[in-house]
Amino acid sequence: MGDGGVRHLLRRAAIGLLLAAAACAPRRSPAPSASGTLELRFLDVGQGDAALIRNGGKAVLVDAGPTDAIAGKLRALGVDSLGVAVATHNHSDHIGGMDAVLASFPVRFYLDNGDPANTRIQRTVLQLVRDRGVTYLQATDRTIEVGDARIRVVPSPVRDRPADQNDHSVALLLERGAFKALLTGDSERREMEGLLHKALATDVDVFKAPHHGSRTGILEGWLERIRPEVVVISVAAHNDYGHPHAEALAAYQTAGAHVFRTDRDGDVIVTVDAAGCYEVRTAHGGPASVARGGPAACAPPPLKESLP
Amino acid sequence: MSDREEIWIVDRFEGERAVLERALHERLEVPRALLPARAQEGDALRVTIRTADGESRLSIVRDEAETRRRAGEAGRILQDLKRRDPGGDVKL
Repeated sequence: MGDGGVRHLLRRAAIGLLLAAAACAPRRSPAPSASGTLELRFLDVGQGDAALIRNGGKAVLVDAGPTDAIAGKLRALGVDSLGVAVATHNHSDHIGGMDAVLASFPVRFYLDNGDPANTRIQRTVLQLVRDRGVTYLQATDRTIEVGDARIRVVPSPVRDRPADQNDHSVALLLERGAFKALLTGDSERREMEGLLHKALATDVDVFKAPHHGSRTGILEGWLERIRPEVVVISVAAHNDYGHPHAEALAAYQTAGAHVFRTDRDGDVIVTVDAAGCYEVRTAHGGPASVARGGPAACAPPPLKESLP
Repeated sequence: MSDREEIWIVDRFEGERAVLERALHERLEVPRALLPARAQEGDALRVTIRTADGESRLSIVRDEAETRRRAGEAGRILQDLKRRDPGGDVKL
């Protein structure tokens, strides 16, 4: 077993201990969200995707959910401007609220996959980007610095079927210290195969399940490579598509990941310190951490700290 | 008897369901089997709604010219935006 394997086992042991401690611990006050903490928040937007990244006073939105309700959610979270708004791809469950975002907040940069979807919502979004003077970023291999965190932009390696938006999703790798979170939009097997060949990431802490937990986002060898500790599924309860599919849930559980779902947990909030130690809280679970992990140095607190 | 025509856009497929954009922020879902066999994402569909004797019937055909027109429109805006990309990495 190499160093990476040892590190992975240590991290898994740490997250397991915390889960056990959290199960019998009283609620604690919320983790401080002062400067110095990176927040990755998967927003409960129903059947769609939206994630908010905040660090060092800067904010990045990744997808905008299916409706304009996203604007009110961002306002309620204290967002007053966005450094970047990203559309991983141009399906309406990812950009349905993007026009409301662009109309409601100053946005410095807009990044998408560059593919025409021919829909009214995409045309409206692109017109807003143009008319409001938002600087457009192509999905090229580039990095976005957000305070002391960085987002690596990875364009889809699939280029031969322009009609297939899912497999043209922009992938994002968020890193701070030793922490890594991977978001791949609604990527399906062809894109995931390409990303595997690019050796995008191994040992990620947090992985957003592709395509709302669809079976189309499960690829042999993928989870073995990225080995996520936490998987977040952005999905609506009782949706028409059967998301998340049982095969996907089984795969994530077999991989040993702790699975969170926005339909059951509400917003899923990951906070990360400068070293990469992270905690996971959920809107429905209250302020107590329900998972924690990171480098081996991020040992969970002694159990006595959690007792009355 | 009255006929009405609308343009619906194929937003995406979810398994055997098709999600169609009827108007801005107005979407509907139909079984994929109701669409023309070669329909794909991004297609403009010309939908004729014929109402007679209190019943409505839909006729759905692919409108290739309208699809090309919309793709060209989005493509022109995208090309314009891409020219403004400053390139390189970004620091917020």
